[in-house]
Amino acid sequence: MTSAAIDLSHVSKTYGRKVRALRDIAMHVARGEIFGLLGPNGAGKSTLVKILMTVIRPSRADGTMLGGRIGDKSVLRRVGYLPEHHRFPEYLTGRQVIEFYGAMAEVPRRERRRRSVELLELVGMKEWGDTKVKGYSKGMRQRVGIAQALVNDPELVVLDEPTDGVDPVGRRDIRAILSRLREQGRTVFLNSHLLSELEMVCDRVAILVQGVVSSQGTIDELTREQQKYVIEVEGADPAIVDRAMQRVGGAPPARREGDTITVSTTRPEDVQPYIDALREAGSVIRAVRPVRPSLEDLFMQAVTDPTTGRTLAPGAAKGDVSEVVRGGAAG
Amino acid sequence: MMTQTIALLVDAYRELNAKRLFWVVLVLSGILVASMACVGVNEKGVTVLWWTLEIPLLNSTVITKPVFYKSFLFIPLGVTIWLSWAATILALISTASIIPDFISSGSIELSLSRPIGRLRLFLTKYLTGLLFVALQVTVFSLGAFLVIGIRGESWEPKLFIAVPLVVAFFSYLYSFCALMGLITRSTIASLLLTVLLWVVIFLVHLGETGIVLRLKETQLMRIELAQRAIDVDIPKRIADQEEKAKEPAAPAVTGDAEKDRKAQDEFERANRLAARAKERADKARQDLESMRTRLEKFKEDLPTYEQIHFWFFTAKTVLPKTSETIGLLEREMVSISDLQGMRDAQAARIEVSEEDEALNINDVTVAERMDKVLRARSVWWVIGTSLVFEGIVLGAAAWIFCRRDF
Repeated sequence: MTSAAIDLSHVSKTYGRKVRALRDIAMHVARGEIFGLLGPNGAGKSTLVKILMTVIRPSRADGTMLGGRIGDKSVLRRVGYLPEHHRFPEYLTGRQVIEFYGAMAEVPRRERRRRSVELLELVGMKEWGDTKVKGYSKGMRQRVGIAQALVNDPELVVLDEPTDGVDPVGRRDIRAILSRLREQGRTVFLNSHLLSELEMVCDRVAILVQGVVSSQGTIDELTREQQKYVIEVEGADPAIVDRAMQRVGGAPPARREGDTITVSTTRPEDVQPYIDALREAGSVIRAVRPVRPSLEDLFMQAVTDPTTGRTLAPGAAKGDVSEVVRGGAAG
Repeated sequence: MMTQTIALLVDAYRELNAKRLFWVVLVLSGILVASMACVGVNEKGVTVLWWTLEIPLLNSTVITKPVFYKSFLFIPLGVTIWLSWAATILALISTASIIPDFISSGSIELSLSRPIGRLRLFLTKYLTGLLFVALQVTVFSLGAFLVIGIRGESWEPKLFIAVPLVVAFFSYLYSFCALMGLITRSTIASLLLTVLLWVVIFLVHLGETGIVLRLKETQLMRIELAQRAIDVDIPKRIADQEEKAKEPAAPAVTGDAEKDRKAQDEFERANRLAARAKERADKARQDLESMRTRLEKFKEDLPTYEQIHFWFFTAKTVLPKTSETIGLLEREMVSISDLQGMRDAQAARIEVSEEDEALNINDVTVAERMDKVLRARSVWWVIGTSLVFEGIVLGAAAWIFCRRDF
């Protein structure tokens, strides 16, 4: 048994000859972790999830999911899935939804009955289990959706926007469920727009932009790479500060905004020349602290064109397919 | 594997159960069966509850009770009009949404992401769409079986052939509806296109059976009967009349005035008869010539009818045969001889053209011949070619379903 829940290399999807939804995706999701996939609208997140769940046929997909090849239906017995904007049959009750999709995952009847009771309780829908879905609010549907994704006792749970339409209390409950799943040793693959949600629960994340993984790793790894030091000076003449900064040679570049000087480095020793220069210039240093970017900062950085400074257009990349083969990117 | 199939079937039943139309159709079926039970036939005519409507052409002297229930109530009203038209339209309205709903965004992902192959998933879903009609026709047939058994005094288990036949008939249309639903993703569009196909099938059937085949068979009957008249009937008539036209020998004079007068009268009467027979023989010779001319004309027109019929028949072979599929039920349940008494009674009252009267052709004789021709069409041609159509349509739908990215 491989240690990876999902191990992808060279996953591509092209619609027609022009629309490149995914370009040579490589991604590794370890067993027992909560992995977050984030990206702007149309980045290809749902396409990637749908390829994993055999809803979309990839143009190319090398790799494995729970040890089976991508597209192997038998693997799906061990996978739970909640699609984005799901629509359950309105004529079914919440309990029947869970039992029906359990049967579709080949869960034995007695097991389905038992699991449906447990899961309704887990997602806080015990009182509503015998009410038809058409009477549910968006949040209630989402809770039942999570329950049906767990009915087959999956090793891997793939959730596409699980907190969509859910109120803050519901989100907290869902986070608690996700944490419990991790404690049980299950892998959770989470696809969400809500960066703060991901930041709170995910062990590792990948950022997908225009069908390409721009970065992936633990939140700590990703933010450490982007770490900076901030020096705050008090009441100094900006001209004197600027001159002091210009005197520092061989150190990483720094930028001043008002009384704050930001040094782009992860090493504290790189900051010392600036501190020395500022003190020599008679500036009063109020604080020196390391600053890590938030997930949102990383996300915004990923979706910003470095040459123009503009946010990249939403949606998949367009262009000749041959460019995909030549210029595929991976995180 | 069975768990998934059973789950899909149970889900289909729940879906039907949630549709008001399903119950409306079931109640209407019940009313129809109850109405059939209220109608009967006796030696005077048709009875409705305790009233009798005197109908000379429709009473137990020309038709037996079981045939009345089978041929006048169950097959034409129950199956042909109710199940094959009204209930089918309602069934299509109810089931047309199954495939578009199934493949709609947010729904299809939940099904495709399960450990079930796309082909099996699609075909099982398709079969569950037939559940509506299967349940309706089973309940209706059961009711009709009891009515015919109790009121018609004949237990007819063959009646349950209606279940596979009506389901097969509906499946021809539903396969097309499923394909259209898959392509257009729209319930309304798939429903309208299916009804359009049904209209085309009906028009081709009407053209082939109702018009062209009737004309062709009438023409063939004319040729056969004219040929027989030329070869047998008229020459025999001529020979008979020529025999009668032989001049009688003059009577010998006996001298007895009374006897001679009588013999002379007899001789003159025989002469008159011979002259009349001669006239008839001449008329028969004229008829023979006239019949030869008509035969030539009939033969001349026949290829046109045959050509038109060939194209209609070819079109019909390719298309599903909805009417003939239902017609198989009558073929199985009612023999031509069952209907003979009523046809004879009808024939006595039918007015025909002078031309066809000479050949003894009328609506009843043509209907009998048409019956024979239609009953001679094999079950393979009726159902087999229709299932080939359904298979091709369903194959195309399954191919699209298996290849599509949802």
